[in-house]
Amino acid sequence: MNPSNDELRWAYLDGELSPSEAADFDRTLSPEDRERLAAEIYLETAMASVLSESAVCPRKFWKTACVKTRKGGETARKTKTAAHRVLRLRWWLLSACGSLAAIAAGMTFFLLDAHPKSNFLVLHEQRPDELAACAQVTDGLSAVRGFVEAAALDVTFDPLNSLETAESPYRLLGAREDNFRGEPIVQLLFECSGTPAKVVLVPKAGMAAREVGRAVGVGHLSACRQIGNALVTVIGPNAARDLVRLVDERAATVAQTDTAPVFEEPPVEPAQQFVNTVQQEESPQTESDTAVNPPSPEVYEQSPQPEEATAVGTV
Amino acid sequence: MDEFLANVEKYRDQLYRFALRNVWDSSMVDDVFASSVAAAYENRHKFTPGTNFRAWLFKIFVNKCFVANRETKRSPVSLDSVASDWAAVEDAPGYGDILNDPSDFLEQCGDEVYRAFRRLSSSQRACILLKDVEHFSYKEIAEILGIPMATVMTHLSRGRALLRKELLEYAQGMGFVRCIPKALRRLEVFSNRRAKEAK
Repeated sequence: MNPSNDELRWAYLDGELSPSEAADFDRTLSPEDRERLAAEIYLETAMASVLSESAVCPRKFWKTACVKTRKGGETARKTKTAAHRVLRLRWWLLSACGSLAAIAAGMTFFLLDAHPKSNFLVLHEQRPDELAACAQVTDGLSAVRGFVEAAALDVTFDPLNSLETAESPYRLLGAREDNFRGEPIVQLLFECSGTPAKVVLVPKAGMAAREVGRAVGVGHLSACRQIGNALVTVIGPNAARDLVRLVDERAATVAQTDTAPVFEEPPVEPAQQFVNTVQQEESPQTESDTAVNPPSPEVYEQSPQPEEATAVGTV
Repeated sequence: MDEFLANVEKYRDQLYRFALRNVWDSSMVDDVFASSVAAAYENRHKFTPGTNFRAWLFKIFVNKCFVANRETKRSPVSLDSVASDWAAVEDAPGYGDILNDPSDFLEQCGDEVYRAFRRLSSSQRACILLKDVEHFSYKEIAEILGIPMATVMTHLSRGRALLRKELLEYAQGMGFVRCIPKALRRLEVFSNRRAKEAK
């Protein structure tokens, strides 16, 4: 909107025009106009002085204003304090609720969803060599057997059929012992047709057994079997589920061993032992002799030959 | 709080004068003044340091005065319908006498100046007070009132013209200046016609 002539004139008189605008406007003024405008300024100034005179703020007005302002400030402060109190209470409630939620989440995670922590039920290794790399015992079948018997589980690892024949799909890689919440866990590591598999032995009553039970419920395990005071679980491909049969109860094994004539052989007298040694040196053992008089278990385990014999043993 | 009140106190006379001249109901000036100071304190966080504190205070006072005038529900004599053309006023007989000695003329008018001023609209009064009495620039007035600068110019121009016309009529009526009723009547007829044309 273009300012009217009056507005321009007032802007000129008030000194609100820019220098160029003022110069342009000034050029249009006649000497009479200039005189008149000067008189207008004089009138305006006189009117302003009339409007501004005798207007001193009374002291009581200022006091009233100060009192009102202070009251308002106190009221605002009180309101603020009350609001802070409510907020603080809310913070307490919120923090308490947050703590409870965190505890509940932790408990839920601990009790219900602990599968990710149950590493012994997960087969992380993709290849058999990776699985073999994490074995604590890799010295063959006898060493693994001793390792299993040394554990606090009443089971024995006694594969009756061979693991290293051409027909056997399994190959023993080693064994390792783990700990799950204070409970010993023995893991027997196998290769099953080129894929890793493991047999996990856990105490029958305990947290690890509960984990195994949950894993069975979910369907993560290939096979599971209770033997004595232990729970035997196979983790790996379905083809590896027969591995669960390689573990047997120790007491039964001992009983079976007791009935075997080889373990009932009376202790050999030193003199007789010497005679036997001489006889053995003179006449080497044949296969039939071995079948009739098999070597004692101690010898069977210590010499490298018997291990091979075990490997080729029959059911 | 004391520091803030000390800062406000520097301008208390100016603020009081503005409220006194702007509020229609004189009995409300005390309330308007006190509530404006309290409002300024409550909204002190909205003030940007480094800017014009005085203009900021006046903005609060202007708003409070407008609110008070709205509550009074007293409409001023509608002078907008009357001609507010400066040219019409300055051509009126006797106006030259006023311009010859403005101080003497205003002295003779006495309180009529205030009364005439009160008949202006709130915006016109606010603009004239802020410009002539408080010496704010057009831009500052526009910011204080929250209106465009062109509107400020219009309010100033019309308000000043109307104020002159009121005082001229009073002076003519009182015989301070030469009175030519016919000429004045012609001026009013002319002004009314122009107002109708403008509508």
